[in-house]
Amino acid sequence: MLRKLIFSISIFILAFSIFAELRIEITKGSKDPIKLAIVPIEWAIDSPASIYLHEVITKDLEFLGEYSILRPEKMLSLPSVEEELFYRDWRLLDVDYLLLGRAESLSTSKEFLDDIEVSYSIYDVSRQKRLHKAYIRGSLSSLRSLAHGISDSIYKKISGIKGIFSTRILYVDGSNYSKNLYQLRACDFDGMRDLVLVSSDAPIISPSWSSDGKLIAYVSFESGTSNIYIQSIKTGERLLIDPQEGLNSAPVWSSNNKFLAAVLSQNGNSDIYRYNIKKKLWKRLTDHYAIDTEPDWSKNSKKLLFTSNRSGSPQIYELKLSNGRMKRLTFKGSYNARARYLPNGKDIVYVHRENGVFHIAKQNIRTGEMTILTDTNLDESPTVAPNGNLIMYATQHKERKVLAGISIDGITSFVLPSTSGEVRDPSWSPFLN
Amino acid sequence: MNILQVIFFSSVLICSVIGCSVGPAYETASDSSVSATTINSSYEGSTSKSQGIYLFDYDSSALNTTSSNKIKVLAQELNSNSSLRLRIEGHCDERGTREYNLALGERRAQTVRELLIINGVASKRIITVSYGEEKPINTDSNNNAWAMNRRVEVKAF
Repeated sequence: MLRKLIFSISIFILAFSIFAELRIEITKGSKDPIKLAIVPIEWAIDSPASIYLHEVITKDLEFLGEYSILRPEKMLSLPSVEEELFYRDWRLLDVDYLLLGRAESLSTSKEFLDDIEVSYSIYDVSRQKRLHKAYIRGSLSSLRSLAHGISDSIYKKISGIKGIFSTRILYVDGSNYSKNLYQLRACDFDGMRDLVLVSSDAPIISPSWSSDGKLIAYVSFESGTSNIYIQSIKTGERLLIDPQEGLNSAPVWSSNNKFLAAVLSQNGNSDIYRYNIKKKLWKRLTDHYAIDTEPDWSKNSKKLLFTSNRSGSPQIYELKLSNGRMKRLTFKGSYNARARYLPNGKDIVYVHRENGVFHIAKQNIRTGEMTILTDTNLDESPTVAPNGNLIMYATQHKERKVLAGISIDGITSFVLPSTSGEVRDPSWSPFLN
Repeated sequence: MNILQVIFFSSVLICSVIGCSVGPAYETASDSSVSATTINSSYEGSTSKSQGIYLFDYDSSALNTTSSNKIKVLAQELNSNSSLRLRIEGHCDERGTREYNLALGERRAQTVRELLIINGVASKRIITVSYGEEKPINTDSNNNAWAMNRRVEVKAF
């Protein structure tokens, strides 16, 4: 048993040191969190666990600061099934909700030993009631995915909102800029399981996910100028999007994945275009001698946000595709750029400059009411979690370029400090499960 | 039994009945495999000789008098050596958004291109490209570094 334990701990340490390119650091949290007990999940499997499921679930749920999680050493009992559950043990500890679970092999046959199933239940302690009972299946090599799946399920049952624990972040690593190495990487929402998707000797910018999370689009300078590529995450297969003279940049996918909105510049003047991926056709959407750039689709792809300096300074505009009507949305300050819709379609976030400092701001489209969310400097590239509750952005932290995040209510903030120190251009995936 | 209690107990009963009849929810957690792509860039003019660096003001694509005069001199030199082709690269400082800076860098490159054309350099000899804020000369975050990075580089090949 001891040997088994040491073995699993060493695997855990090894896994941690390999994948921890970015590590989360919570800088501010909620004052009145809900109290949860995540009882260690019974491990009824012969092979040792590479990570402890309850530890990953605990980290996930603590991440937002909305929950405080009781540690196993403070628990009065460690039940794994309902028959062993005594609500008074948990009431005494002021626990609001409780998770019990058990992990089993799906098959005894050696061939399928990797396939496992975790059965788990969520209990409401004050009402002495089971809220949810479910199974999740996966493999021994993807325990982290299993844990994130359970976290999503707990979050949904308790808060009523879909969790983002199974989502991924695309970002650009320019730490080896001096060696002409640029990497496009993807990691879990918490910085773990970091993988290189593209390594290039030329800059890469503006990565974005297709709405099914299977493809990505980005801009690469490998041919000596900016061109748009789309790539399959699974196979690495790449497609160059029909390049036009001048800039080819800022690609974002429509919700049906049939179109990209992007920027082209004929005669040096950048405008917003729509590209039909199947028909390979470009269609011009804006035509102005000023800079038009940074498009973003609304959730139903009927509208586009973009940045334009047609008023003399960069401001955010909204274009209705059905009639071509354009509306200026931002009026405060002389630099408002790179807007992204929230999934509700009613609010946007963007980069706002105030007294020479760049912040991320949130604005209601209808009322125009604006709130500055961040207190860092040189903030850019805001990206919205698919549930609309969190924003990630690129900023500077202790003189390093890092990815930081903030909850949409401005209460919880976090940093993903990179060990290498020059990460940027984050793009939050859609829901992947 | 008051009405609230009735509602409470019947909802508990309904929940437990539904819980039993529907059964637990199934989910699958899987890791999609990922493959990494390696890219080595290749393009015309990747090996070239610098013909000078021209600086710009913040959020501006207008050349100052000194730079304009330098470019006029450069145009004369280029006219006397018409076999050379030119790669004009526009750059920005790190402040502001990356895509807006890419468009701004393009404008800066266009400004230099137009001035060369006005001064007799054939347009077909010129390629323009913007790197936005992606290729700074000085990676510090201060006024001095930013001033060095807001530039156009003219290269001949």
